[in-house]
Amino acid sequence: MPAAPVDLLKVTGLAKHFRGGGGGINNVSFSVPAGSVTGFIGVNGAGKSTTLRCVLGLLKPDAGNIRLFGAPFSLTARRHIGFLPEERGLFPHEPARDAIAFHGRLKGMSRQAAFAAADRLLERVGLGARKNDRIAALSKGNAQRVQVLAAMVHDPELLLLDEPLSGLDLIAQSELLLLLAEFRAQGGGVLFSTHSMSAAEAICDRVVMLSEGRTIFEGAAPDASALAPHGAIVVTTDAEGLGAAAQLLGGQIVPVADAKGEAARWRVVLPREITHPVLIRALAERKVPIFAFEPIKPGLEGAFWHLARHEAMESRAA
Amino acid sequence: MSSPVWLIAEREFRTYVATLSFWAALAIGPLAAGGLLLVQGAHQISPPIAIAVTSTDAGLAHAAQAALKEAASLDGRDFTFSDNGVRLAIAAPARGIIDLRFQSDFPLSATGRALVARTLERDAARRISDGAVLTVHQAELPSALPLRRGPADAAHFVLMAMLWLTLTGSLGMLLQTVVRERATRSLESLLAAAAPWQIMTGKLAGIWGVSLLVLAAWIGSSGTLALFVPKTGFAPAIMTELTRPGLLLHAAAIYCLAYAFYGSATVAIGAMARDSASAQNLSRPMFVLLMAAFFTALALAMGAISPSWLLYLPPLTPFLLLIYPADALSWTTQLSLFVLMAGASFLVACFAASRFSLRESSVGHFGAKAVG
Repeated sequence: MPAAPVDLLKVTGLAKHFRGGGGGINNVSFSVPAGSVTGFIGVNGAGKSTTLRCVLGLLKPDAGNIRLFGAPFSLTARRHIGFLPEERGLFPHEPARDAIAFHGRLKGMSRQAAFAAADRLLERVGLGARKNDRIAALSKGNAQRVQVLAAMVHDPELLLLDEPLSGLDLIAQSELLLLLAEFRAQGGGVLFSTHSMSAAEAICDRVVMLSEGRTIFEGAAPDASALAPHGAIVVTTDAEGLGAAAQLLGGQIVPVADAKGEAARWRVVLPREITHPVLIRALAERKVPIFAFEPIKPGLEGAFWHLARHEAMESRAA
Repeated sequence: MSSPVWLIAEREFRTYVATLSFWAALAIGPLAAGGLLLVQGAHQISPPIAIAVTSTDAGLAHAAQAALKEAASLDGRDFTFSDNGVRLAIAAPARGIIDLRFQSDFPLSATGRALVARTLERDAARRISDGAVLTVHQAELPSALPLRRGPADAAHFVLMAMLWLTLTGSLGMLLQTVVRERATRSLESLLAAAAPWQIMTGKLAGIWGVSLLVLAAWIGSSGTLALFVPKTGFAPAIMTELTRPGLLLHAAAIYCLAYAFYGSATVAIGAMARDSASAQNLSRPMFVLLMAAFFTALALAMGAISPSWLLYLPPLTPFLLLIYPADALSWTTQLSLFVLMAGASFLVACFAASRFSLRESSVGHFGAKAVG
């Protein structure tokens, strides 16, 4: 029987509150096994960055437990983490090679080893010829890749990436995802927070979903996708007719956004056996005007919104 | 493996030295020194002015001529002595009293005249052995004039001005580097690898290195230029004075303490600011304080004020300490002032380090809106 993968990071019941209330976390628990890419999904303000800062020791949590590489948090263990903050700020006047080597040396590498590793990584991502170019002279995508390489230069066991794909075009995104896949193949663990569900679906083995400072899901990505509800987003002026049609089919309606004029946007959740044409026919029979009809895509996005709503309702009830 | 402090300092240093503006700042010193010498040279082309010194006491007349020569060089003039020149009459109507009567159009400034009177007073005092009171009429001597003792005091003033200029420039750089890294959150990458005090010390040391290089270039160029020009005149005398090791060591120690004090305050301001706009607003009182320190030192140098208690206000201490002639303060006073500055710098540095850390801060410290 193969051994269970080692948890590089295990967070249990993490809580951090701030004066003023915003941005805090309440009960965050998850783990990042070796040889995996774990997507950290949540909207702005869900607490992703706060969690990452607590994991790195930049913020002191109010409660909870963090174990790095099987042991309690320590500054020595932190050296084996590569971290990419949400907003990147390399020195614009610094050559790419120097910028990467600087971070390696900061993590304890010798000067020679840091520069050798910087050269090797730059070659690997096709930037070898531009290693002496200043960061300001690089495109945004290339500068971002340099930043990721700076997080990887010291050969960490665990990578924490805060929105690594933001601002990258599709080609740059796929190149970066390839780099992360290589890192995973070598046994490394990656936790990356993202808004992009498609990117998370493309590379993540596991996902951790965060809403209002709580973990609402942790598990395999396909398991998360399976939780997505079946139904459609409908824009109409006849909420009553829409509700009646949905109820008749065994479903329900949920408001998605405020009404624009007389029309409002509704999420219609249906049993899996009810197809979209059946819903459209039911609405037509009741003469419900339809201004827009968009089937809910099965996947992480649908699952996330479904789980987040469920969590919000439970919180309100509590 | 290198210390994070050294790595961060090295990076800050390299970053700023690689900019064009740094080299422009570096060129200011040599250009200013060269310009001063050119002006001085142009002055020396004008013919010497004939002066007639009349006195019944030959020794007094001889001393007056020497004093006039020195005072004239401070005014950028050259005197020769003959019987039909512009007159200075010296009389000793009673024991212990010397009267100086300058012709109304005598080509010497009030400061120069005061210097002549002070020199004669000193020389006469040496000759009086019975302890009689000595009075020199003619010039009312202000309590503290910058040039009262010639190039030495002027060099003190130049050093103070250099300290002020370099300090304000380097504080601007320091504020910029702290705020930029906070605003872009790249500070978080550093904090994930090094302690707040290491980052703060590294930044302080890096910018300190840049400012020391600028100062060294300014003073070094002045000293070098002084080697190749005639030693007569005020400007070369100041430049020569600026290369005196004792004075430079004294000034270097004062500069280090001033930089530690104001640099730590700048880091604290940068750490508290959300962005460059708020950093500029927060730093304004500090720069106003720096302006006040400069003008207080200037007023002291001009003799407009002389209260010594001002020396004990840490923001003013380094500037006033440079203006006060070394022999005007006892070594114990100087030592206590250094200790005061060191203590104040330590307290400010502790505060800055506490603001630099995320651990003790609220989310507002880094901007609540950006927390994901």
